[in-house]
Amino acid sequence: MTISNKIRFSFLFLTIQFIAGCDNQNAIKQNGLVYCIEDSPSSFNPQTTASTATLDATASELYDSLLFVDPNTQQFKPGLATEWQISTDLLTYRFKLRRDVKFHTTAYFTPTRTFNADDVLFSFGSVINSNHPFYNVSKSGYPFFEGIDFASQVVQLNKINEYEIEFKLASPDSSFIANLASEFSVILSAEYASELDKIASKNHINQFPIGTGPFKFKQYRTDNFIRYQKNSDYWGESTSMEQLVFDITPNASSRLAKLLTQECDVMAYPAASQIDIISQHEKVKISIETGLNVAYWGFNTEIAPFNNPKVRRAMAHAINQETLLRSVYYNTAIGAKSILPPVSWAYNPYLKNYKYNLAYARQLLTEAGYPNGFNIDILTLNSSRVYNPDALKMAELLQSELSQIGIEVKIAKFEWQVMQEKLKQGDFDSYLLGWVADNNDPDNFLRFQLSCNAIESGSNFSRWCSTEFDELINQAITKTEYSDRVILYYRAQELVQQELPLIPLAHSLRIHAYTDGLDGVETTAFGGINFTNITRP
Amino acid sequence: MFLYIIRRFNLFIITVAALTLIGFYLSSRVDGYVSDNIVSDYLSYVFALASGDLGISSATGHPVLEEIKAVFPATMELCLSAFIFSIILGVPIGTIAGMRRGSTLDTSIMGVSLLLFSIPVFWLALLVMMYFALNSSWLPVTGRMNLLYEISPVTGFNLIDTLISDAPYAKEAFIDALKHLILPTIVLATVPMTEVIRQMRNHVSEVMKQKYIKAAASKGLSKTEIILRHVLRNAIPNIIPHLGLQFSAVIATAMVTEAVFSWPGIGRWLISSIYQQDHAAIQGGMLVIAIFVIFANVLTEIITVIIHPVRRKEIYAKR
Repeated sequence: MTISNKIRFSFLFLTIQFIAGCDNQNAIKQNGLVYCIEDSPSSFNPQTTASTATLDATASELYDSLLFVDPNTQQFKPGLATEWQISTDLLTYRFKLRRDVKFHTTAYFTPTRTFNADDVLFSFGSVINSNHPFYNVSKSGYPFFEGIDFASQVVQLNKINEYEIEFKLASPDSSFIANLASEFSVILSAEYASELDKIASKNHINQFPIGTGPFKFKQYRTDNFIRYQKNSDYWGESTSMEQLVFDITPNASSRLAKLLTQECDVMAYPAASQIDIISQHEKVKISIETGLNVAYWGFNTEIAPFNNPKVRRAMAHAINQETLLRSVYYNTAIGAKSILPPVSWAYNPYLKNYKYNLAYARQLLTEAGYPNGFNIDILTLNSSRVYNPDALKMAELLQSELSQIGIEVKIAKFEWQVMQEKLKQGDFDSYLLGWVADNNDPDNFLRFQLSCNAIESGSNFSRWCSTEFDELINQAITKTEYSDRVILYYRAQELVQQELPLIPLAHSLRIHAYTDGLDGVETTAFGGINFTNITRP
Repeated sequence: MFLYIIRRFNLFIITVAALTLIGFYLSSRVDGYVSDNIVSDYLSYVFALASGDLGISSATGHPVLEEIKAVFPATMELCLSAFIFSIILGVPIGTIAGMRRGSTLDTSIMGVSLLLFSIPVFWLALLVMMYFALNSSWLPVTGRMNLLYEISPVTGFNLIDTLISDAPYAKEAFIDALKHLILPTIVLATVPMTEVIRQMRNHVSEVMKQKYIKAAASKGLSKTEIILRHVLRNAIPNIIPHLGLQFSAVIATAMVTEAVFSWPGIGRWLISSIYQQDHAAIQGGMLVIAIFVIFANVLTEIITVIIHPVRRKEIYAKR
């Protein structure tokens, strides 16, 4: 009896060992890649979204834009447009289109023609023209295009011939090219759209995507996974991966576990506190890029005492950036001097930092007429963001620093929708927030956060309005030479630095962790992963 | 016999009816909608349920029944595998303990199984996961199968689907699915296994005291023959009703296990529905699980009566 049981047990353990010891190196794994992301995409059309998860999972995989941004040089390079010309009055942009670009052939669509001017007309027409048959298909609207007021900026969109198109602008705007190169400005298939219109299922355009990108859509299980297949007709450099799967794993610990057991090859957003564990693991590599983002502490500059720049400067002197970087970011961020991150071409490196000096801060407060300090509310978000993993903890650190110069801090945490409402109503003293760039143009950072117009449109929550600042940034977008623009942006940053409606705190680094079996893991200019060059040697 | 089965199923129907009442009450609370004619509302609710209409998930916009069909087989696969595992290990161990009742071996088996019984499942799951993820990476700790394998669901059971699939990598996928099943199975099987050991030990030691065992031994039967012919055959039918009860416990524990191991079953699905406040999904999921548990219990009762001579008299009882 005991003997037969022994046999049974040893058989069981043998089976387990046999299964465990099996070789992993088979074709399907060699030619496929699993990327663990943090959230389900809200749509498969980047035009319709503002969520990073959606962009990361769709834009550069399924689609192409007219232009791309080179992640290393930040310069523009040809995408679906091979060359472009800008008229001398800076109002007409003409693009020559790439020939012989095939749209995806999938189980639900077979294209009969290649990419041409009609597709460009369709892609931008459905976004700017509210009478367009596809305009109302997106339930979430077009947040990026609405934010930059694309519809009033583009007066005309003309087809010159099959392979040439022309944008006419209302006023000169040198950030226009950057907007076309952003991940939101993708090109969709007009032929697919008219097919869908015929069978009365227009909304499929955002659920069953057709693009020209290096991968094509295969399958999506909500909250579970997305499966893409290689687009073997891709016009650009072809990828070595036959399959790309996005494993949707919201929990950061589970993502890490999957990475360590090689269930995922690449992991998005490791938690700042996990970096130590990951870097000790020999089978895992980490890529660190400076992100196009900023976290800041903003003030309601319309009410006392925060309407006094001296008070704001005093508070900047009471902030110990070192502590914030260590305790909140676990050193996965760099200290910020400007609203623009150092990776931006317009970043002003000559700005001086506000040194941590409590005695001087107290002196400034006394000069401003507040020797005994005052009370202040800080609104914070209750969930983590790309630019700030833990706003609450940050607020608590600020609280303890400021209590030493007599400022009593009350922290209030909110969901984003609630907080946004409060910020729009002006019902607050100060707030911890940040910005993630939509494109690589500095205008995107400065105009949205600080221009007078943005108070009205609801993205300049500090309500700071400076005619000098507005003139600088408005002048800057009428210039085409980088050197001309840089000077203006340097001056604009100096102004913000003096006035300090927002105290810049940190630029979060964009971190990806991946298994050491991969080569060629590169990020796109906007921080997502570029899957086209990844190989398994 | 036929009458007995009908009787049992009456019980099933009454319990399910009670469940639909609760479900109806909850859904009317959520909708905040009160009509004049509650009875006709309730009846149309029940008819909708009976025709498989569990409503539309507010999170995904798909019919709830479709979603449950996609996730329920994963839960079943895990539960059955844990259940079988607990029997395969529990029956022999319990038999050993029962045959040597009072010995050191018996005491240590019972000690260990009491310890395992007391460990909270989610904690054990996390320990196992941490050990296998951080220290050794020879078994996967999350998910059901490497997502690169594309196997179209036929039965919904990965082990079967991979075997009947004609994909070139079907065999690799089968082994991969089996590997993924190991850790959640061990964690989920822990508690029912201790129960099987305990029951088996009690019944075996009971049987060992019987005179027919002594008679068999004096006839010169070997120990193995005695165990196979007399001990197991008399002890196992006694533990079947307990197994039925264990099965509902397994399904409940499966929720926790699924959450920890990211097993794409109904438990994980329900938990995410709760986060998204998807009331139709929560209600539909609960109803399906409850009906299934009741059904399993009724089924075990019927099976017990069929194979257990002592309880067969229930068939003729007129209570």
